[in-house]
Amino acid sequence: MRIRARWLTALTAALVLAAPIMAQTTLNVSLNQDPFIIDPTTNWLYDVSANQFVTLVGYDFTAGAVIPAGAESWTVSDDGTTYTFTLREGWTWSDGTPVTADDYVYSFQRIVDPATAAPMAYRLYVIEGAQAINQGEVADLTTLGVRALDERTVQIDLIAPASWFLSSLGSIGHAVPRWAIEAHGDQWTLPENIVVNGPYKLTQLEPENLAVLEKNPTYFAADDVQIDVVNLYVVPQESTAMALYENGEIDTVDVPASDLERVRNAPELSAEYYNGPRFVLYYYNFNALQAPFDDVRVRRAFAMATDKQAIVDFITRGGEVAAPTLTPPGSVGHVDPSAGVGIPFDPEAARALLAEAGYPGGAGLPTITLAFNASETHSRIAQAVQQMWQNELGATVELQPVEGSSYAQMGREGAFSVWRMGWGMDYPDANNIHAELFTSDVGIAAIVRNAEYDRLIAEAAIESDPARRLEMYTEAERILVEEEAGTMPIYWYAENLLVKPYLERIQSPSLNREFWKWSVRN
Amino acid sequence: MLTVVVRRVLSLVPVLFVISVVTFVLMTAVPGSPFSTEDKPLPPQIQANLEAYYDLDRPLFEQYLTYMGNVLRGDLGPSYMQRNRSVNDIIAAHLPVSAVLGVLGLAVAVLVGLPMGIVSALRPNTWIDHLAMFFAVAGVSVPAMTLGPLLIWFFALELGWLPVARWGTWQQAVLPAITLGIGHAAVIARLTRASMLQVVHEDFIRTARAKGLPESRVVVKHALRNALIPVVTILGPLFAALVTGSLVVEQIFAVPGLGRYFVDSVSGRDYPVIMGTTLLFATVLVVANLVVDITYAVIDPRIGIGGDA
Repeated sequence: MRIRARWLTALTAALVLAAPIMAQTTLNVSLNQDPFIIDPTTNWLYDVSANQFVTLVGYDFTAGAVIPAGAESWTVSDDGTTYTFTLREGWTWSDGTPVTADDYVYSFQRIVDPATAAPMAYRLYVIEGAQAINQGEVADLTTLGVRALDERTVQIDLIAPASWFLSSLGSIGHAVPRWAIEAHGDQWTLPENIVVNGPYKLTQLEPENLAVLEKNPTYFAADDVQIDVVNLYVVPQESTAMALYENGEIDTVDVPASDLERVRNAPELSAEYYNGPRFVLYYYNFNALQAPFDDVRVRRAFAMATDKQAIVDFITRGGEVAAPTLTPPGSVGHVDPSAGVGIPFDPEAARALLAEAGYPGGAGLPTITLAFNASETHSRIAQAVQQMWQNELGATVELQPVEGSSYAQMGREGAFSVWRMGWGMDYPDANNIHAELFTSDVGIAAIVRNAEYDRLIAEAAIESDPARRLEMYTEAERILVEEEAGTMPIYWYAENLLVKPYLERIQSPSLNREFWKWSVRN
Repeated sequence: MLTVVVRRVLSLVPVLFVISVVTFVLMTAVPGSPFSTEDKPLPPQIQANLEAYYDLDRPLFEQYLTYMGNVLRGDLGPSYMQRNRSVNDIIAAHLPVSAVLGVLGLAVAVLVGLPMGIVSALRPNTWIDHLAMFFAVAGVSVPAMTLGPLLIWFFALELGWLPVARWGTWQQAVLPAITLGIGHAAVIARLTRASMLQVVHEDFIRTARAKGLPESRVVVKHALRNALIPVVTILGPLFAALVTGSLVVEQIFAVPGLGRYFVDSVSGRDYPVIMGTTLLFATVLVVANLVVDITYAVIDPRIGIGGDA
């Protein structure tokens, strides 16, 4: 007995000594949605999928540049419609199968195939044949302009040159393992079935509770991945995540708005606090189908009576930036405030304009319904705007919080006079926000339409000269936001994070957390 | 007794049928689509593809028949939110968690509420009674939304006695069970007190005392037994509500229960999940009420069950 005890002690000592060599670095983070959303094709992109599958190119939000990912290099034809990507050599999937051009071709075909019903398929309509396939007019998936020229070469043909296309590939078109999908159907993303080619691989998955990602040794840059294990705990409540952080159970957290003041003033927490920009826009739409907002003067008057700076200074208070225009700073096509585009806060001019439109001092204005998707922040902002419009314009504003996902559709169908919306950039280019939200062919009927704006957005999408593009987007913003006042940008969001001192995380406006770029010091 | 139980269980069939029809009609009549997110209304073609994928482009009557046919085969359908999880998977994964938490919450409610009510009733208008009723009023008034974070702050962050949140160990179950149970404990305490006060003035209690029975026997065997009837009545629906999950408590403590599916499925128009959770709740409620009816007969032999006893 005693001998065995001594032997155990020796063993323990050996293990303790060996520990620094064998120690794994582990990251603990919270996740506010179910970790089961993994397939990058059938869902919007989330953390868990972004860390397991590799797109052709990546986007470095810090440097503001497209960077190699699955493709080590690429060329663009002179007419700007043919992209040719060369994949990395000697890189395999986690089951040992080589990563080939066919894997990417399959992924693009799967996204546009109407049978997959992928929500983001429309983002690929710029590729030859994509729209016809997705609309069910052509059944042959091989007519899609994404082809494998050989094992390592992928060629993509576009219907027209699109200077934003490359950066948009940073969040769509991840290679997916055809054989695993065909063998397991929708269950291919379970830990026992999943095959990945990215930095991490899912090894454990408990619905609504936990996902564990472990470093994938077959990833082409596995040597650069510093964190071995990432535990993602599902924590729906912001304040609970904050408590877990303060208790040392997670390593980084989004600071809830209600804790910002305390975090900034606490010596220890304020040292771990990070505040930076996010590529998300907060905006209000005016319903131009109905009186009084069918009159451009009224739309402009209400926009002029909205003090955006007061909203970010006194209500959100998280470092948000009042937005004169739509496209967030740091994105291609962002209009610098010095260009003077947008409608500045000017209550006096607002009153004059409203009087000119036939509503002096607000007399004769119908009750304005201001709708927002029910949340505390949206509600507080709406109350402030209600006050501003009542005080400055004499308008009667009724607030209407709406629950659930039908909200966007109700707004789209013209159920409210003014309604709150938000937009997170899928890729950092003005095309993402303009072409997907406001042009006449995709836009919301209730938002004003303007042929000149449509033309500018269409032309800017295919313009290759960056300076010319910026001019076009500047003019487009001037028309939509200033002249027509069809929509009213309010602010660009801010990132408010706490990060433990031993964790180095990339601070970037990107929406998904890229764990392979983070590191933990032991 | 057995035939009565069987008959009551069989009566579930028409009840569930009616509930399924009403739920189906209501949820499809409400505007909104399962596929548009709050910030991104989808282009019409994408919407159409998704509807075709889930057969939502078929006539409603056909959708209902297909759905019910699948339900009879034990298949509650897919979830629109998570393509790789069926409603069966969701219930199988989350109902047990909610059930454990619910039973613990119910235990807190009964073990705290019942003694508090009894003690108050036995010493009416003394400081004990006032103190107990103060806690009962406080328990009812403080919502879980406030109580939960307060308990986390005090017991987890300040004292370090219990974990902040999450699920898996018994320590992690303590705070959510208290948060879930305490409000109901307050209701049970007040109900027990009122009911006991009424019973102790009945003639048969005076008789029992006159017979010279010890006070403890009078209280437990005679007074409490009769006072329990109204308490047991609310325990049925309470059990059904607690066992199928509480959104607020589960969210606060990051407990992977079923609660959020009741709410998120409705706001997200996830039709099969709405149907599945509604039918599940109805079943649990009917069964819980049946158990309550049987319990009546055990507590008070004068009350029969099923009309023919």
